[in-house]
Amino acid sequence: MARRLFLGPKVKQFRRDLGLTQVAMAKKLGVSPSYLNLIEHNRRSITPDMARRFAEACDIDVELLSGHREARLRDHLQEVLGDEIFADFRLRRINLEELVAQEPQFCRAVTELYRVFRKSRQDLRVLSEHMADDPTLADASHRFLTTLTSLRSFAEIMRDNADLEEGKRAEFAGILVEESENLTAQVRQLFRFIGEGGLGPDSAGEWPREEVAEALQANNNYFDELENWAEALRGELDGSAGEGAPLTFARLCEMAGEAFGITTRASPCAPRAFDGNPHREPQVWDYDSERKCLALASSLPEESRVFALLKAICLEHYGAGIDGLVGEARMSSAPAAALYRSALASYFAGAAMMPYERFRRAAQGCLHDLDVLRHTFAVSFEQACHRLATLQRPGAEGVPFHFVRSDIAGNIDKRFSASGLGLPTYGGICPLWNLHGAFLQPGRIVPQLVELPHGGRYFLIARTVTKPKPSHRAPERVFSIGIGCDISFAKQLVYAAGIDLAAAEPMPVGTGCRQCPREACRHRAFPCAVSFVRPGEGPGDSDAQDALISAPAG
Amino acid sequence: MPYSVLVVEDEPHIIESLSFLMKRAGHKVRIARDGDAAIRTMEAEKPDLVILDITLPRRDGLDVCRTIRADDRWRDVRVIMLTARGRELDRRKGLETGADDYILKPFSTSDIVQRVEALLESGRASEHPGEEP
Repeated sequence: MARRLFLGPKVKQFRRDLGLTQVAMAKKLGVSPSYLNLIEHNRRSITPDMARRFAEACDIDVELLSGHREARLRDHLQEVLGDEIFADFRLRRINLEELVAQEPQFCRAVTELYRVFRKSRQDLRVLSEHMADDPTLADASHRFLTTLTSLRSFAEIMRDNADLEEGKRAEFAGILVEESENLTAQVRQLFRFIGEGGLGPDSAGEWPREEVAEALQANNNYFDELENWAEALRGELDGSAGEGAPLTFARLCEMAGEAFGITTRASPCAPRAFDGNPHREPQVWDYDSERKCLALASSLPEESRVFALLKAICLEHYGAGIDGLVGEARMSSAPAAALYRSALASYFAGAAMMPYERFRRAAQGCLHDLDVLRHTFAVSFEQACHRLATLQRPGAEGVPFHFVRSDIAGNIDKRFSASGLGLPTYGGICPLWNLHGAFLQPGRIVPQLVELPHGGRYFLIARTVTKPKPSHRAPERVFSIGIGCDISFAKQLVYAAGIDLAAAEPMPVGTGCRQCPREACRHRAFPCAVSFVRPGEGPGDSDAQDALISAPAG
Repeated sequence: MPYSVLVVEDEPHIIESLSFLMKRAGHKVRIARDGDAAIRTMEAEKPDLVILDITLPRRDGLDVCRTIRADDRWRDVRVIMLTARGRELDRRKGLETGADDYILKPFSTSDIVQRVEALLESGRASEHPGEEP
């Protein structure tokens, strides 16, 4: 069931920006003024055809009326309001579609405030853990208490023994002064330790990753500049070999050395010396930008070496351009900016390995068969899936996919959605997704037809990938890669061949437990704090009176 | 008759304050600055009571207490653990090794003197049943 778009206030604003009355706009659109009025008041949804006509009439990008941004904002807001901190608010049934349509900036402000709140909450937890376990603090605590013991003992002795001889009194007073000075030095040392960030929560990790995911999503995971640069580079590389031949490491090495002065060296185990510590995992590749040397573990497969070298070329040759893109994104921290920089360089690498139009046509031609795409372009399963999720070039779009990567503990470290399916920003993904089940069938592609609570149906595939180990003692890294699209595109996938999509029973799933209204689900990991009105459920749409939300499921 | 108190502590000022307090209370005081020295001192002359810090060089106070309790010669020696470790878990650990009392730093001087006296008297009463303390 396709999602209905309620963009009334937006439509009204665009009309007003043109200085047109409802009558004049209705005439331009070929509809009655009363119908336009219903649309502007969200009494009627806007059809894709109407959106296209409206966009043409207003001379705006039809993407602005696709509802994608509003859908993402709605899903994000729903996730935010599903936090247990709102459990006692007993929020009335909320029509999020209307709220987002009427007050998009307010909704964005709420989601941004929640992001900052969550980070602060997390920082406090980390700080608390640090304080409990930090050896410097433990040592400081012991020294404080020891010094205070001396201070207290001698102060009480002097107070309780009026007959203390003068010599002893002077001696004890001297000890009080000495220990007071010790305590002062200890306190200053502690505050110096804290001030230098000794207890500072690690700002790298979860928050920069989320920020980068948001930045990629805001660009619809498509970057025209990066595509153009990648095509230019690929054009030079293909000059002699001819278009269509996959990129090889040898060819790329030659060009990297001649054109950019980048050398590579292979390492038998790992670029950073393995120091015998079984708990420290050696890196599989490392780029020294000063020496322009890329060190690669010999265990890396060809496609990963090509990818790593392309990233290095991007950062060397297009560094200024990348910095410009990072600057535009206005990351809130240095770690976030560094991660975004790396993500953009990775995008470039993928685009050079799988040139846009060539890849898009090949994908369509083979019904998005990932094995065919892997062999055609000499890339890994994950690289091919990632590329499929970037095919958003205006006017030459591919199937709109979402992409998500999870480790075996369910931690999501990569996510992007163009499929319309809102991936949770915080917390894990619904445990019923094949993304998790794929770990039970390692290496096999697991297809799944799902239905979301709002009725949207999606076709998903997932498969585990195992990263190459640099040495025997290094722990194995296994991820589950999942991509999916709206059911309307499923016929373009080889994985849906032989499945009667109209008759097949979809798995009822959510996106994440906190915002999922399926209260009776036996796989629920967290309660849902609030429930929301979907289009067609609001007051006036049914006989139900407004009702207070029931207590969350325990 | 004065009691003999062994103070096992490595912090010089705390040694001094405890020595002062015990001497003021009329007891004979000996000092050991680490766990090994504590056992050697006890071998040389058995004390009536040990005030025992936990964080010590060479051998910690918990180990010293276990050694005391494992030796029949020192069965009636009273042990007060004196420490900055304030968690309930640490207190239970200390008492499980056989300590008779557990006092936290920083301590009240009057409190520590009272508890030392109480333990010494209870020990003397059990040694000499029927005699008035």
